Amino acid sequence: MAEYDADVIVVGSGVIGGLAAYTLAKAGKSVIILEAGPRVPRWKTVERFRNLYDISDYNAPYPDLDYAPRQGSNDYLQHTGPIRYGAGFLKLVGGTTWHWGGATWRLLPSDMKLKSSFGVGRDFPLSYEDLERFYIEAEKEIGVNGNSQMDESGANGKPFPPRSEPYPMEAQNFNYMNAKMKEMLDANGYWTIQEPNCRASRPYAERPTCVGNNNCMPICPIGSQYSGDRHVTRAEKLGAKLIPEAVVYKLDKGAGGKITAVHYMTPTGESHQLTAKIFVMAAHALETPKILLMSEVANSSDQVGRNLMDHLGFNLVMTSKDELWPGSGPVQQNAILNDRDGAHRSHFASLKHQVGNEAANLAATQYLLGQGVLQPELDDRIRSMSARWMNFNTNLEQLPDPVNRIKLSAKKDKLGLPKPDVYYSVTDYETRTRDKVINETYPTFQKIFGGEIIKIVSDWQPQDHQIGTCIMGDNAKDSVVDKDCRSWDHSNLFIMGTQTMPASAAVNPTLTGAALTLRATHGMASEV
Amino acid sequence: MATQKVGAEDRSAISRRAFLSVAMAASFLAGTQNLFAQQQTGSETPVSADDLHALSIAVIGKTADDRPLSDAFHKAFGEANPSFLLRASALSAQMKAAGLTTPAAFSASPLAKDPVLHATAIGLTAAWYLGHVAHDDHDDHGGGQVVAYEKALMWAPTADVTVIPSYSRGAPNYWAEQTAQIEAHSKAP
Ligand SMILES: Cc1cc2nc3c(=O)[nH]c(=O)nc-3n(C[C@H](O)[C@H](O)[C@H](O)COP(=O)(O)OP(=O)(O)OC[C@H]3O[C@@H](n4cnc5c(N)ncnc54)[C@H](O)[C@@H]3O)c2cc1C
Ligand code: SF4
Repeated sequence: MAEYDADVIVVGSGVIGGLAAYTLAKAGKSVIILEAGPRVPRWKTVERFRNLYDISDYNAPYPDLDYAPRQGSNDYLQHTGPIRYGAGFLKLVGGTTWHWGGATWRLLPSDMKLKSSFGVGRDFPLSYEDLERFYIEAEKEIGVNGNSQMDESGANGKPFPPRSEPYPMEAQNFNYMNAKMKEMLDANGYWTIQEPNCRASRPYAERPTCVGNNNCMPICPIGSQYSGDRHVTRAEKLGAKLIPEAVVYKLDKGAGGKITAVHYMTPTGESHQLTAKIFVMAAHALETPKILLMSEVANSSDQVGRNLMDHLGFNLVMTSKDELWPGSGPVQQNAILNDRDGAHRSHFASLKHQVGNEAANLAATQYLLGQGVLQPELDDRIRSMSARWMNFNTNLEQLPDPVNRIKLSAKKDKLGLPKPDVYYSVTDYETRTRDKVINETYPTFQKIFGGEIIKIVSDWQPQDHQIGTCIMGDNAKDSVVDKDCRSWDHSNLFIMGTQTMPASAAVNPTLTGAALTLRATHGMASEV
Repeated sequence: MATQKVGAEDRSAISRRAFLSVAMAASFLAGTQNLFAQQQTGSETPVSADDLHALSIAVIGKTADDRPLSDAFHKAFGEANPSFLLRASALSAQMKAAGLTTPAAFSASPLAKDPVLHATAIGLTAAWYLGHVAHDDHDDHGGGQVVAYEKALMWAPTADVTVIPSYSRGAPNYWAEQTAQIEAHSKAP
């Protein structure tokens, strides 16, 4: 009988777990993937979406199970801080990227050196240069399209950050709204960047070319947009074994500080144990620290669960004077990054603004009905308002703060496991930045596009980008893992994903989580 | 189709970009419910399927001349919000008595100024445009019954330019080739 059940056990089958499992299986390792949720085929999710009461609820088409609760599950997350943390996560094979927006940004070199560049936050224990070739690999694996000529720092200068190879796919073209917006914003010194994203602009790795169904969130009906199940399937084809409906709840410690086994429960509460040489935790930023805390492992620094970050979001919703026509093509294409980088970051947070391109019919119709508008006027008013709807969404970089954390609640879920208790708050740094945007930037946007403000949403809305909770650093005393994603306390335990990032930047984090994962798995493969 | 309920946590965790439209719908529907609660001016018998079909055409226009869909709304109201059928019956009777058979005629009539009759017309229009019927004891956040997706009337007014989300216009890059079409009609008087 083999000494171990597998060379490597990966916990979580999202994009991060999938990439880790695939890379290790490709390197000839035996791999088991444990996934809390079930496997659901794409067509079923599309059918569920088209039969929803509220089509604007991105979570609703996905399973919400008492043994594997997802975002929005009644009374699962326990909120104890001043701000409600509306975290976005799904539990099924493939994870949360089933309904992501597909934005795949790199960090800037300065994003990774916040403390040494601006005196705030923390530095990554590695540099942009250390990560660059893994960004290239992550972009190829995930299948990213983008414009290699853009200055993604938002300063309208040379292409930046430096790249050793162009994007694997050419950028998708802008629709009418984005092209018009670019003209109008450029004329006012706001630079519109084409957002790099993982929709296929040509046939790519079994994915068809995007045909603009405008439904990337909550489900791309044709699988043009990348989702995490892709690499899980690829890993399985290379011999990895996936066990769905396996809720991991405990890691065992053995001699020499090594992790020896993982325990999981089936939906009926039956417990199983598996052994491996190496364990990879890829259950994202809420569930990974929960499992570590339940197991009392990896926490000699007392940092497990701490430094929870997200992008803090707020919105300007308005109508433009002219018809711009959001709603044709993919759901998001642009970004305005003038305030992404610069010396101001010592005092003000980095920012990303974006105008959504989701079809506005639902929002416009609800608004007009709310105003009491009936036929024969209603159809014309829906057309006019939908064609002019502008939803500016701003994402703000949050600094790492150890008080923001996941703990174990005394309340238990159906399997008897503690629910996550989330304490979440913001500091003056974030508040002062938001106030500046609302008082200075939003009025400028309104002036550029004319029209009327419908609403400014200024209460904090975390943007479903969980970051931190198991951060990396170069000191075992104040971080959970080293730059190779290895636990300081257990040499065969690796933690992967956005939860290891010690800074959030203002851009969507998953590509960076993927690049850190690929860097770590290549190193790890030579150890088994 | 199964009745869908939305849990308490869902209301606050509703997706970040959608939250605004949902919040606005809620306030209008809550207002309508308050009005209904204060003034129980419905008829004693629910509107018949025939009359709901005719009423839908009179309030919304020819786009609501779809008998199977009208019957589906009738059934959904009966299950999710039966008291609405009483109010619809009152509106139907008064419109018939006044000889109002088109949206223009209704809007121009004194009936459209009556808050309860107007709210009833909005409730019927909301069902056809959003494709669902809300529970009577809830606002729009409380869930209800789904009747239509593609056939919800909110999509048609923009159908020449945009897609019904999740359906395709057929060709990659169509969205980058709409300038002439858009500029032609937005310049039209
Ligand atoms: C609406 C929305 C839009 C987004 N848009 C973007 C975007 O445009 N760009 C971007 O970069 N990011 C975006 N994100 C964030 C992105 O989805 C996450 O960063 C990404 O999914 C993280 O990958 P992951 O594999 O670490 O976690 P997940 O994808 O969440 O996968 C983790 C997996 O672990 C499983 N798991 C959890 N607990 C256990 C357990 N106890 N035992 C076994 N398995 C377990 C889960 O079931 C899940 O399948 C978005 C998120 C949301 C909600
Ligand atoms: S626009 Fe349509 S085809 Fe393209 S990724 Fe989004 S949902 Fe898929």
